[in-house]
Amino acid sequence: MQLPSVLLSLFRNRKHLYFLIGLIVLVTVSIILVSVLTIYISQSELRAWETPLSYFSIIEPNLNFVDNDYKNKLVEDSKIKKVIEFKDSIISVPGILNTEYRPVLALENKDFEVFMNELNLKLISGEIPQSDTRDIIISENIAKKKGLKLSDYVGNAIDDEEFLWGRFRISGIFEGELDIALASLKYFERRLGRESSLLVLPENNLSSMNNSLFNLKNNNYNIETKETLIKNNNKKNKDLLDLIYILIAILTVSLTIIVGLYISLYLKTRLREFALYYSRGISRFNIVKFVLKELLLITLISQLLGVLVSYSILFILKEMIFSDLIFLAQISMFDILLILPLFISIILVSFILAFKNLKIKKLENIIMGG
Amino acid sequence: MKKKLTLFIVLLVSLVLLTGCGDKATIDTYSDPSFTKGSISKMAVFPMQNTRLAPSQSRQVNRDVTQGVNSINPNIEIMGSAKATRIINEHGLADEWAKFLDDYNSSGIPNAQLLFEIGDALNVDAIMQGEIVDVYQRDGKYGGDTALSRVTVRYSILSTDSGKLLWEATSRGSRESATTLADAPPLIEVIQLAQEKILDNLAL
Repeated sequence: MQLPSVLLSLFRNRKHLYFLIGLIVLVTVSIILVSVLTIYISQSELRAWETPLSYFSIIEPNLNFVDNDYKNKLVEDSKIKKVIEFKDSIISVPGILNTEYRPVLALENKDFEVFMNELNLKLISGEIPQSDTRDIIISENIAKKKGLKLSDYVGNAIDDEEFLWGRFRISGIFEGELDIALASLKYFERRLGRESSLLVLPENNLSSMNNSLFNLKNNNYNIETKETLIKNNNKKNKDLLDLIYILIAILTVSLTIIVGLYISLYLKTRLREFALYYSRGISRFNIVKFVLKELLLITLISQLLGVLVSYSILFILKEMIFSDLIFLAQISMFDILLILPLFISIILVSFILAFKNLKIKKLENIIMGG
Repeated sequence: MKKKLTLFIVLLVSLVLLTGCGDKATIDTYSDPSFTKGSISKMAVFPMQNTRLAPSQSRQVNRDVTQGVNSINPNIEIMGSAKATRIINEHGLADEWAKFLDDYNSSGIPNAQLLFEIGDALNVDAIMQGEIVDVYQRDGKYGGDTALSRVTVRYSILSTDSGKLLWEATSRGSRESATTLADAPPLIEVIQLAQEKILDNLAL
């Protein structure tokens, strides 16, 4: 006698497997979504600054001013195209848990043109901010998500939820890859004082300019590049990642115990079937292998289903529930790898339980009518 | 000799009492939680309303406020009443501002939209507006009342950022003569008395 195919066996026992599949799917979805959403919420700074820092780097003085010698060195550096004085703030954009924001850069009027050209930002309506006025120009995407149009006002003086201080008048809307807002440096100085940071645009290549900046590094200044942003963000979120690992470990252990108990029951209900195979000359090893194949396939299918359900839930969240908000959460390879311990532990438990439940003595007892 | 000296002292004391007068100023203030030191960098001081003074005296009162604010915080750029009035006239906002003051004085709620417009026109963070709320003057009546001038002055600082009232102070100043023979003290002196009290309590 030959063993039936694994798929046929699964089909025959499908009623017993619904619960197991459902449980593994549920925990897989929980692990993936917990990881995706927690990391997403903690990365609001990264989402705000990562793209802008793909175009330029920032030098922030530790003291209250930038000394002219240092500034001259930067201006003379062949890898630097332009050094622009600026101040920054943030503007909120609708996102989950009200944590989403985008940078606001305040520039001198003479720098607007070069900055916008370098960053491929094109004014599609209105005009650039006048010096020392409340004017602000915002990206098309920010305008759309916040429901703002020309001459509207924005700022926490009129909306307590807004991160941007004071009150600004939308004087223009621009299109481009960057989600930022631009305002007058002089107006910012009125409220925030005169000390500014420096924004440096590369002549050709950003990474070679950043290397040059680090070579010129002076202890009185912090250099913020895309790489330092990611590094600092990871450092800042290390505790959060540890928390995710602990949560996932708890979920994995809990599920493994429940799955273990269920597999044990499942195998016991099928002992007669296995005894029949044994009585027809199929070795215990082959029966155990057969059972393990079944459980491996079930776990694999359930986890794949879990990943699919997670994608579907995220899709529904993005396209239906949070369609008015900026919600950019995505499932990464890191999130999928987090379900690997669950897979390994289920297989390990299945292996132990299969050997424990399918003992020759037990099978022989059943054959003998015990 | 001793009698003469005593008489001289009595006469001197009487003279001091008769020529002296009683000054008093009380104050009530309101401050919005968002109003903090350094939150205003440019402010327009508008002419005081209902002054009942001669134009030169009105100018003096407005000048006193401007100088007072400047001495409290020299970093604040102050736009004087003449320039502020000229700009709102140029922008055709004078009538609306007058209506704003009427509405604000009766309801206590500022029209934020108009404050935004005026703030944008003047390019200031706040507007300071003074008003004489009430005036009482009484000449001395021999054998009866002493001379008295009493005035209630109110100053409001309105934010052109938020359209809210940031700070308000109401001061009641009074000056009373010691004799029943005097005329009511000049109004401008009492206004200045109340105004000084207000400026003493202003933390910009």
